[in-house]
Amino acid sequence: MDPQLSREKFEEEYQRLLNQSALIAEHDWKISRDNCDIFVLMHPKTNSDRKFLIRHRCDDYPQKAPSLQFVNPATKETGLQYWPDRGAPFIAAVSRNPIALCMPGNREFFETLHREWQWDPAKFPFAKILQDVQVELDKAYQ
Amino acid sequence: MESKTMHAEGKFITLTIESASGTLKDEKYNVNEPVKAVKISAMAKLHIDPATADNYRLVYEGNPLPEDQKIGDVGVPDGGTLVLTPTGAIVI
Repeated sequence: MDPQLSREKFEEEYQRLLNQSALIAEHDWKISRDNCDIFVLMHPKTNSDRKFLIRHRCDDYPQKAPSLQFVNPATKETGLQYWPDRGAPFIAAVSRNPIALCMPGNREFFETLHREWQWDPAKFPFAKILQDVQVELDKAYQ
Repeated sequence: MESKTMHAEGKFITLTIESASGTLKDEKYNVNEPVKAVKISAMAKLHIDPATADNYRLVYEGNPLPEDQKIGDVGVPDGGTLVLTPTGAIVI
């Protein structure tokens, strides 16, 4: 895909995410961005002090699914120590090398864990990918 | 000046419903419809399987809406925005 068109698709989807202000408020997401990296600070619904920062990397979007990693909230470096320490999907993710979250919608799922699945950006708006993580976070820390 | 109430257009209320799968803008619902019926209708329009309705709830300003009450009676203003959010079980 033409890089310009790819960029436009990313910008369109990013704006679509930002437009969902009620959904963002409901989950108390704090969203920021550095080029094609979207950072989302989230916390379990029942524990607003336990914060996690997701790096939703969208290079090559929409050809490739966004890469999803939890990162250091201060430095944004990657590492298994920045992942939730509860919840089966997260514990399983950090036990893999490389770290990969088994949840449809992220690049690691399609390229590392389940190559038999076909990535379809229409089925995975950014908000859905993030909300699926939020749901698991809520379950892990309830 | 006409007040902005849930009965602004008589028997109907206009709502926006945001979900992770998309947004329904300015949808009209009968004020006598139960919240659950509004939810199922919205799910169908958002291409979310209504059979999974029990895995979702409608929320207004952080408060889950009681599903057995009428949408016109739960304190949501005309023009309000609801959020359709999973209750916990992940739905693919």
